Amino acid sequence: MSNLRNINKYIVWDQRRQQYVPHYWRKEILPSWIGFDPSGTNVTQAGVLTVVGGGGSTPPADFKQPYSSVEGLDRNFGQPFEIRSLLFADSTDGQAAADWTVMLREVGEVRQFMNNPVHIRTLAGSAQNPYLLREPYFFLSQHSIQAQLNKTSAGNVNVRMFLAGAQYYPWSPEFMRRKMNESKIRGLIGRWLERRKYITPFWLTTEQTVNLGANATGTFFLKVGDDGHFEGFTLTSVQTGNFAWEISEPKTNQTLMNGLATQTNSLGDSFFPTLLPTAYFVPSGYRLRLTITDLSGAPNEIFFTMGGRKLYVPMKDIEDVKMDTAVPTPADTPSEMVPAPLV
Amino acid sequence: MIPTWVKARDGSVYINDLVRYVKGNILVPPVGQNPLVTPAAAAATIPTPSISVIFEGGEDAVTEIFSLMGAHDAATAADVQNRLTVEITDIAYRRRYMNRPIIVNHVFGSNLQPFFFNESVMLESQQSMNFQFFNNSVAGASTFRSAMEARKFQASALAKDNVTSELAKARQRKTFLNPFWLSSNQLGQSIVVPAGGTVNVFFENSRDYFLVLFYLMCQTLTTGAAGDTIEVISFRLFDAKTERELMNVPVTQNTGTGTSNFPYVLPSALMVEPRTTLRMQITNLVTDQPTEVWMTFHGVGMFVAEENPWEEMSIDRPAASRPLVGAP
Repeated sequence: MSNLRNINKYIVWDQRRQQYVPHYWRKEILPSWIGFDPSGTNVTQAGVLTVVGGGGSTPPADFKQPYSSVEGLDRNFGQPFEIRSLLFADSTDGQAAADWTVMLREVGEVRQFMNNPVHIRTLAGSAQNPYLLREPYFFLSQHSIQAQLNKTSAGNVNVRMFLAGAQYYPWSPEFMRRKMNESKIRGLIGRWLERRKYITPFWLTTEQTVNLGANATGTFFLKVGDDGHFEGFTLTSVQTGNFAWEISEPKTNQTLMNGLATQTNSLGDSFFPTLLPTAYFVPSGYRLRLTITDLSGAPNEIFFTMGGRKLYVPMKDIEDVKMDTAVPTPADTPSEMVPAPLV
Repeated sequence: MIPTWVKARDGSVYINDLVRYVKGNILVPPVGQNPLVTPAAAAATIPTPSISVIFEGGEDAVTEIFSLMGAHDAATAADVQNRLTVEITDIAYRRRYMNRPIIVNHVFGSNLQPFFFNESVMLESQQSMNFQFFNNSVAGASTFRSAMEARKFQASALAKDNVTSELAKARQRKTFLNPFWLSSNQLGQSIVVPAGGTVNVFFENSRDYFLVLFYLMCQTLTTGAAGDTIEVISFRLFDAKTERELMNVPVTQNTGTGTSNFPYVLPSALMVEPRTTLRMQITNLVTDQPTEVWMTFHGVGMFVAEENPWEEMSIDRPAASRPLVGAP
């Protein structure tokens, strides 16, 4: 009767046969996970990375998207992967106490997904509460994303991390007998290929690590950079103790709040991020000023992260780019801000 | 969804009359305030069935069910809670909603986190669903209460054209679609993976269903203390028919599976054609004890008819009427 999880995307009523039939082309988009490449240093065959603690250095690990085809035919796409959520596991400390930071960058395109390393508990979630990307990322065949992990406290930990999403098989032999279906998947991939040039997921964090003394107040900055605009959708933080915060734009003197807010009332984590009621658009070149006051009465280390997407496009063309490359992203379809399959 | 407010052609907004006739509803079994008590299993392999628990749609209404909620009584032994299974049958349509009894921890959510169907279930007036529970534990009796969240279209609403047309669509959908749980083909109640070992398990789809799977849920039980006791298991999953592997390295329990309260929503639905089989390779990360694993998919089962069913049937004359081959 009602579709609660979009079953209607997968089926269609066939008037001639008087029955529902599946959208066969969607069968060639499979749920998938990509973990650390097992050939990396410090990575086991099972994709477990040992992160060195106590200020030690951990070699970067890679997420690699393979290439595949049928008898050399790849329909010019290979095997693209749409990253929809981030997941992690910490077999030493557990997910709730994981204590390491991550910097992600696409190697071939030299594209960073955050301005500085962000804490794992503001970046990735669990299977039960995955961190959904408001802007999924289209990860092409033979590309790789490098992850630099750093433990923020003593002791080594064994961790896993997964890019979860949809694997596209545009060259599938299924399309040999259903040519019409092939055009549908090719159309969708075509729009993604265009969109990924201009819009990527992005995490905005402070320029320096926030370390406050007991009851101290400090001012920190988040820099968007000149290369693109930022659109924030979620607020998250990981901290040693309670604190109050306020964010403002020095250029316009606008603030997000009319006074200090405590983190317990306004900041979630990657498992349950606080969703901004409306997207927070920050033009390129802007700085955000973050004023933080410790409330714990003890030294306080704070990781503050705003999750969203970066728009590498002139201001006047933003809406055109979104429209021309329209794909069902959670950012552009607010009703999808729940963990439901998109395509 | 029935909107509370309706906009008229002249731009004015008024309350939708239908909200007075279509109302929220909690559907419970008879004497729903009492727990269902099922005696302990005679042996680990001989479960004790409960009495049949009937959920009946209202006499004066058409009922649409959205979710399941259930709770064990606090005094129930943990082993009993973890092994209680249920099989749901739509009596009017003679359809089972699962390929075999499924543990209740993969079927019922809680009052705070109900387990939502992907395709809601419609019950006509006085149609019913049968819930058959099985206690698979020898540790004691199970005490379990359950309820379903629904909305009902009261008889007085059936005079409204938009209600009756909505219900006509729903009847058509129900002919083809229903919620479905798919569990592994183990003969016993759980998959036992030896310490540090790996086993292959299979999820077989029947001939008449095309499955669209949305959730993956897992429960593990082990007494081990060595190895990875946080993640407990890892697994590799292979697509039915094509055998494509869905991951480059094994995915663990906390990065690939959930529970009925928070099921892992697959990033994209997994479509399983009729007569095909999913394969999963499960590794026990605990190295000193075996681990019991229950693995369940949930989604929507869609009945499919053959393109031309007569093509597959061979209607021939009776053998006696044929000329005997090789006869003199």
